Amino acid sequence: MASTCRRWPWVAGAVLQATLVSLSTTKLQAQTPAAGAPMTPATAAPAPASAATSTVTLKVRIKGSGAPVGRAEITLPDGKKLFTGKDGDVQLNLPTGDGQIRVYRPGQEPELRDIAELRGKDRVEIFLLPATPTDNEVIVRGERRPEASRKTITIAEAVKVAPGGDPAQIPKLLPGVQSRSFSPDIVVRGSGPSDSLYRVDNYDMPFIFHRIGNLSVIPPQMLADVEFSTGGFGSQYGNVTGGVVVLHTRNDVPETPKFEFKINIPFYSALYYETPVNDGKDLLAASVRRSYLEAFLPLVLKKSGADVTVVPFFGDEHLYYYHPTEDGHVKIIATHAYDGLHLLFPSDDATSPSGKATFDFKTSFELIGVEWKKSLDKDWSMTLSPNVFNNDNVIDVIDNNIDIKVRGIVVHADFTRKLDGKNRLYLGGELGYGVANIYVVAPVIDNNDPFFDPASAPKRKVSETATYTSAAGWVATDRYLGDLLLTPGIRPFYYSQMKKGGYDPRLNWRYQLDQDNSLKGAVGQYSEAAQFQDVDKVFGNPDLKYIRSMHYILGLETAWSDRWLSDVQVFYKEINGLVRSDPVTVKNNSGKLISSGFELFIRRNVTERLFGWVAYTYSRNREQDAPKKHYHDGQYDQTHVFNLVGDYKLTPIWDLGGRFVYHTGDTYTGVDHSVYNANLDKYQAREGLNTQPYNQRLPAYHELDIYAERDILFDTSKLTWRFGVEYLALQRQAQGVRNNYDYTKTTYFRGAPPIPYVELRGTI
Amino acid sequence: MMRTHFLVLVLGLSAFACNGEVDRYEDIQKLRALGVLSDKAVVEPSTTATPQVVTLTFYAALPHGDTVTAEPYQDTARSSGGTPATLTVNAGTAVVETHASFDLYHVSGTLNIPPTEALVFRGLDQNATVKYGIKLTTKSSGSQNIVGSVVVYQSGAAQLKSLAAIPTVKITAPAKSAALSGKQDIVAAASTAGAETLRLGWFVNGGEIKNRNASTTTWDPVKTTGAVTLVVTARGAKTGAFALDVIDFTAN
Repeated sequence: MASTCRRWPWVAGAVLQATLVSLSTTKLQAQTPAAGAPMTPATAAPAPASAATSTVTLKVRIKGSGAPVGRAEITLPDGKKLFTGKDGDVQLNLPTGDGQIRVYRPGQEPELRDIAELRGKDRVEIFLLPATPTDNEVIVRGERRPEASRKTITIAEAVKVAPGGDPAQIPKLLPGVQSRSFSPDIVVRGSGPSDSLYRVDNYDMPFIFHRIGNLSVIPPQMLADVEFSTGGFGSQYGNVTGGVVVLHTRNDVPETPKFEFKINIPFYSALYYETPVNDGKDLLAASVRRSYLEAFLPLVLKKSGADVTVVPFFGDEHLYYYHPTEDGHVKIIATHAYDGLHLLFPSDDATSPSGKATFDFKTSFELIGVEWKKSLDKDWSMTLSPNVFNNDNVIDVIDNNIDIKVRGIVVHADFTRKLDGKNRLYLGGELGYGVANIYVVAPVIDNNDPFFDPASAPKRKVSETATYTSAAGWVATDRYLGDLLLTPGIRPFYYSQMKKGGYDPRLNWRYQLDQDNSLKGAVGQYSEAAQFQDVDKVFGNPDLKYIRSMHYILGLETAWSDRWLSDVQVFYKEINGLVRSDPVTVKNNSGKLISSGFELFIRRNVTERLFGWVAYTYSRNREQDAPKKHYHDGQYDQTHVFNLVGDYKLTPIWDLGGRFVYHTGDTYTGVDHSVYNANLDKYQAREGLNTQPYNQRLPAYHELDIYAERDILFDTSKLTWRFGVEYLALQRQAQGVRNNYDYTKTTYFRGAPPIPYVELRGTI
Repeated sequence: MMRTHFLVLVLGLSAFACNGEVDRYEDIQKLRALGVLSDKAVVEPSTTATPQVVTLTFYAALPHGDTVTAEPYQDTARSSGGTPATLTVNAGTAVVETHASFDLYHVSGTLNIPPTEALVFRGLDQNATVKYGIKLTTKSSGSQNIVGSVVVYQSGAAQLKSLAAIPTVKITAPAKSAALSGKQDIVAAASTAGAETLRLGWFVNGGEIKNRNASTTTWDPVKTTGAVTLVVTARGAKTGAFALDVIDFTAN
């Protein structure tokens, strides 16, 4: 088939395509459908012999991809109409005389061709340009079970407007999230970055962002949408107190192969290829991304005279296979992702003769997962998702080393049973087993030792192999009581590092007030096991308890029209048992956090021409470090967070868009005064006697990012230029504070100035 | 899209650049604490029969022509850091030694060591610490709050002997009063009879020291010319036992 040539480099592909099209023919049938009658592909009825002197095969394609256009309408000079077959081909008996044929399909610009131009040719390719986008039809997203605080963003939306064009970062633009421009981390309703769940399908990922690249580890081409919940989520998710980010892989098989490349100098390049296999029934996709910044940066720094060596690198490779079946599908994903950094910089803590300290880290993981979804009978369906993984983390800071290797297997199973009507029963479970090799050489921090200096303190060495198990189950049901949907659920769990289990009861509800308005809410308990290092017998406290949070959510969702939606929510979250340092037990569960506020989300649904949203969050995150102590602003408190996001398709080939972000400045702990510690020959900051942690704020943050995209369409390929400016602001924004050696001068870390950029992407 | 890569790196590099170029730790341009010399590196708790008193000498670099007053200071650190004790500043002990680029100021005080029952002995070798503090205030170059600790062992503990030594330190290069050009190797020899490692610290009134904690390192004058005063300090990692040496030379 003609389309197979797109697997080749695109210039050669065009030549090959012209050669191969002759292998495909579809016979002609002249027909004139009545107005409103369904169009049908041409079949083999020839035109009257008296009206034709030659025959030509028209091959109708979409410009920019070369994809065949099925059911394209061919209008002859006499008004008769023909239609292309599924392969985009139609055989045409050319009438005598002059005149034009018109080739048209909804969504594409009509194309006119002179009869004389076609005469004498065996085949002619006609490439239809995309039509001017309309605002008439809303593009429907996939729907999931309703949950009070869940939102779904399509990949098509996300790659346009998300920071870095990275779908995994779209939560940063949604309500309920506090974030920082220079970090992929998200804080969900006061819960820290490590307190949210990051998944690809049903697989927990050791990390979902490249720490160096600020880029998610899965390429967007393999994804269908991003599901994000800021709280009150169902019992199928657990071991977090914050939110849930799930990247869903795609569930479709393309008709033709596709090759994409991205070149970004001097940072990285990406290659992506997908093709239908198994007679066009399955999808096979492969992706490789690799940075080359490590080759450029040391040279640049050396030339600039900087006394710093920075060698960052990252990359990933993926294979994805999708096989739809009559009653489900099988998906296989194999992933390898890695990040690293070698940093050598002048430091007062350096132990080397050069006076430079090292900071090296490398983290990587491999994961192979299989998802088997199947209807067991007319009532029961099942999704079974086993995966094996290996995760290496190596951190060397000056003379301290942390090397943790974890490998394991996780089996995730979901069962759904149709009950009467729309009622459903959900059962599931997740079993995990892993082996961790831990090697740590580091000082044990002793805040009570006035001679404690991490740079010179004696180091403790821990080298051990530990196994761990985790087990969780869940039962939930959707119960419709008239217009009220109740979804109670319970999640029992056990994590071996805690040496005990527990259970979390949860309830989601939704009441359809009328056709356009729904009241919704959730209440539930969300438990989280302490981090492994916090329960370590040397560096932590093996007797720590689970961190437990309670979520309370009430919301009103309104569909103002098929284009405009609004969602207003108020929330209250209380987290107890947060891990804090303890002078006696090293760690304890004395911390508490209360996050409360409201969120407003106004969404303009996707049409061909326009989409966007406004998200505003008002929240207060108050922390208490120990019982009876005063509450203070939390580490992640941003009282007001406002996001305005939009994309407008100006013409078929021009796209404009951007986002505006405003949030209250981040908190930090101010320095009241400093002392010179003669034991250590170091200055140390001191707070006032009654000063609370996080008692200061950076200035409010604002940022505007704008872009324009221009497609350059070739017959079977497309180049996309993206131009834009990031970090537009009235002045360079404060990102943090920096003190001089004796804390007598405090200055702001300023973000980068506005940065214009150009990016080139290609699709073949 | 990798636009943010660049930004993260810019931020990171600017941070390091600033650490390296602005307000270098070793650069003395105002009143700067240098260290505290205790006449006893370690001490045992007081008893009724034998009160234990430690004499502390506080060293600071002082711009020429400035004057200093000293008074006891109470640290407000949240962590305990040891048992607080009140320092008595000894009247008439303040001395100003004149050097080429700044003066070396020192003043002494006495610290009464509490009895066993007032101390908290902890750690693998069961020691207690007694906190002290002094505030030096100058007329025109700011103030310094100097805090530290004296290490206490129970009577009879082996450490009372093994850690008892006061270290010595001497600058062996460059030579005193030398006239020098360009980058210079600077070398210090430190020793102690005590069973602890010594940590060195260099100070200077201009230029840059490559590794201010190394015994042998390099001083880069950058744009400094004229009189230079170089200080090296040594302190015990377990006791804080202290020594210093000062030389003057000329950078051409």
